[in-house]
Amino acid sequence: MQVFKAYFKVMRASAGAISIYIAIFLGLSVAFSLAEAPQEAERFAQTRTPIAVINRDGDASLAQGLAGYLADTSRVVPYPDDPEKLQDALFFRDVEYIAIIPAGFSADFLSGRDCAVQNVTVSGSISSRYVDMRIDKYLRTARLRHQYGGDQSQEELAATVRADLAQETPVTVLSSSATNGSERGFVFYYRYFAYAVLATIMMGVSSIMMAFNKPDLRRRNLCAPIPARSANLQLAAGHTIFALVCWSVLVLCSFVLYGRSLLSSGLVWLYCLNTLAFTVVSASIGFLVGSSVRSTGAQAGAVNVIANGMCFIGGVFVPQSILSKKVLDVGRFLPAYWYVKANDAISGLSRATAGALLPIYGDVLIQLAFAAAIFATTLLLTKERQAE
Amino acid sequence: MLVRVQNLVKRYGNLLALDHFSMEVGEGEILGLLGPNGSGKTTTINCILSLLEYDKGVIEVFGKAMAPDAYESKRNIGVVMQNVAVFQELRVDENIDYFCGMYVSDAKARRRLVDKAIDFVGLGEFRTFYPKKLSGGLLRRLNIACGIAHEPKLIFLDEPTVAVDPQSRNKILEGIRDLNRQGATVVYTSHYMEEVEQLCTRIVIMDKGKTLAMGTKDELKAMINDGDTVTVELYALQPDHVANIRQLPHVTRAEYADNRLAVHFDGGQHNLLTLLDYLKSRDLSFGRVFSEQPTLNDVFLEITGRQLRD
Ligand SMILES: Nc1ncnc2c1ncn2[C@@H]1O[C@H](COP(=O)(O)OP(=O)(O)OP(=O)(O)O)[C@@H](O)[C@H]1O
Ligand SMILES: [Mg+2]
Repeated sequence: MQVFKAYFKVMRASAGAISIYIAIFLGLSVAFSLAEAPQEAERFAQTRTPIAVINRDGDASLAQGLAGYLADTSRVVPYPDDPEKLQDALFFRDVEYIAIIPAGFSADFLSGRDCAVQNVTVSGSISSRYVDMRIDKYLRTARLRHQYGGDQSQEELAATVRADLAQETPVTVLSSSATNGSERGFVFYYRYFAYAVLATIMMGVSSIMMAFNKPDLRRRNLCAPIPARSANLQLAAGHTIFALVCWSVLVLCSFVLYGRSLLSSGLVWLYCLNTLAFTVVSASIGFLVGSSVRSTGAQAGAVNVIANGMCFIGGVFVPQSILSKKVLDVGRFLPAYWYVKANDAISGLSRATAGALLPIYGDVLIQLAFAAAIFATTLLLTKERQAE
Repeated sequence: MLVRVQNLVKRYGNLLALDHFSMEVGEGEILGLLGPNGSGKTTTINCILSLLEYDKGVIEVFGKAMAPDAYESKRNIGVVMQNVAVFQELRVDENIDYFCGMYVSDAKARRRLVDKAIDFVGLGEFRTFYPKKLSGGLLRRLNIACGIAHEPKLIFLDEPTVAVDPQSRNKILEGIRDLNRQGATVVYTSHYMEEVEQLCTRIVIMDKGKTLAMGTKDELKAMINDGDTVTVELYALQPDHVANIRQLPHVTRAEYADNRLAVHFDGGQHNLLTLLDYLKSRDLSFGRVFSEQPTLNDVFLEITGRQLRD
């Protein structure tokens, strides 16, 4: 247990650097969510969000009804179903939201199968959240009518839903801007989570690895009557606990900052799952850095370059929807890309469309695969180096 | 025999670092491994500790073949490496506790051992210091404390006094003698012959990876059978006197320079008297007279034709 105990004593030396990363992150998150909150209330009253609606479900009444409802409540800019043109439209802010009703949507919806309206948004756009909410509202109403409204044809259903929704006054105005603000806040928080968890864990894990891997110390440790495997296991246990502590601290902070809105979103466990996967990725990268660099200067450089570089290209700092296709193509080879992809998907989920979880699980698995690959590479590298 | 090394061969690529090197360490000894820089002392120690793979040879410690997983043997070995090996991130007492804890799991016993080790190396007032705040000599002392805190039966010290001031050095040497008195067997490497001469009960002289000689100090000196050298301070000695002196019995060399006459005798007895009798008989008045015993350096010089310390 000696190695395990020493782990956390050695960690003290990096505590300063690590708390700075966490403090900066928390500071930024709070600042952003405070800055964004009031804007939103104003906007709601004034603007109708420019959106594009791509209906691939053709003449199905439910899909038509949804498109119509969106046209009533937002400003629909007509666009053809052409990915390139749509990307441009988003990029130049011609539209802030693209809703795609997939083929077979109405039929799936009525038969209770998983279905979701896909969307592409200008990330960070506040008004796109309202479009989300409208789609959600439409589908929720439709679900209610379908389940409790007796036998209705699709046309009748679509008509009743439209009628229901038409009666409604925009009640949302009353909802406090603070709640909406902090809702935006936690979406933002969990995107940036990637940076905080990556930087802190990489820093901590690599510091420990460097301390124990100094050639003289490694030799000295090998003189002791403790099998190298046991020492390595103790280190691994230390890394695991350290990573989990960093993760829990960051998750707990999100509860403190965004408590009610986060919990009521029903997305907490998905965020936890995704961040946990990225935590494993971060530990693996820290492991790689720690066994590759020798000096603290090189270590600090590596941590900064990797954390900043990956977070930029992967879409943490700049939303993926704004990044050019070239950058995204590169990003695909970085775990942060998949983290953000899953994170965006989670943030776009709502209760009515909660069927669309599979792609999120996929992204999580891809992250874990990255972590496994990085761990394996590191083990190979160190094996090769030790065979002197 | 606590340690037996036989025909050890170790290559670093093309460099033959150990060339059929052999040595033995008996229980209770302080064995000095003496050799110039690069002679293979550290390589020998690292091979004995199974830190290095070697090409040929047999190594036994505590009567058993030494191997990386010979944990029972390792438990009774203390190691003080040539390069200080401590955690920069841990305090003095934490470092000692860490290394001691690899051998002693009982926390209470360990606390006592750590205190004792701190006392032993005189780091009491630096207990809570981090290594980077320690001077070079204090750091060496910490390195020693980390190696011996668990009271091992067999201790390897690889040049533990390099860069240590004379005062600390004496304290360290005294400490090693103490450990030995308390029952520890010590293997001590150094290229300071004075140190080895002062401390060690038996000495192995090595160079270029080979054993040159081994034995006690006196055995080694007897080995070169160098007789002794007498130096006499004399003013203006004529060359024919020097020639005469060369003819005296047992004289192998006689040189006169800087008003000093150095006469080298090869065995024989009463050599000094013979020389002084000659000087008196010629009415040559002389100043101080020295008679020099051979040093380990002479031994080294005799065997290799080189000075131990360049
Ligand atoms: N890892 C290594 N790779 C290549 N050559 C090495 C290595 N370690 C030592 N050597 C060489 O092996 C020889 C013996 O080195 P070693 O360190 O054992 O000498 P030493 O007697 O301990 O010297 P010193 O008094 O300087 O500590 C030297 O010539 C050295 O250059
Ligand atoms: Mg050496």
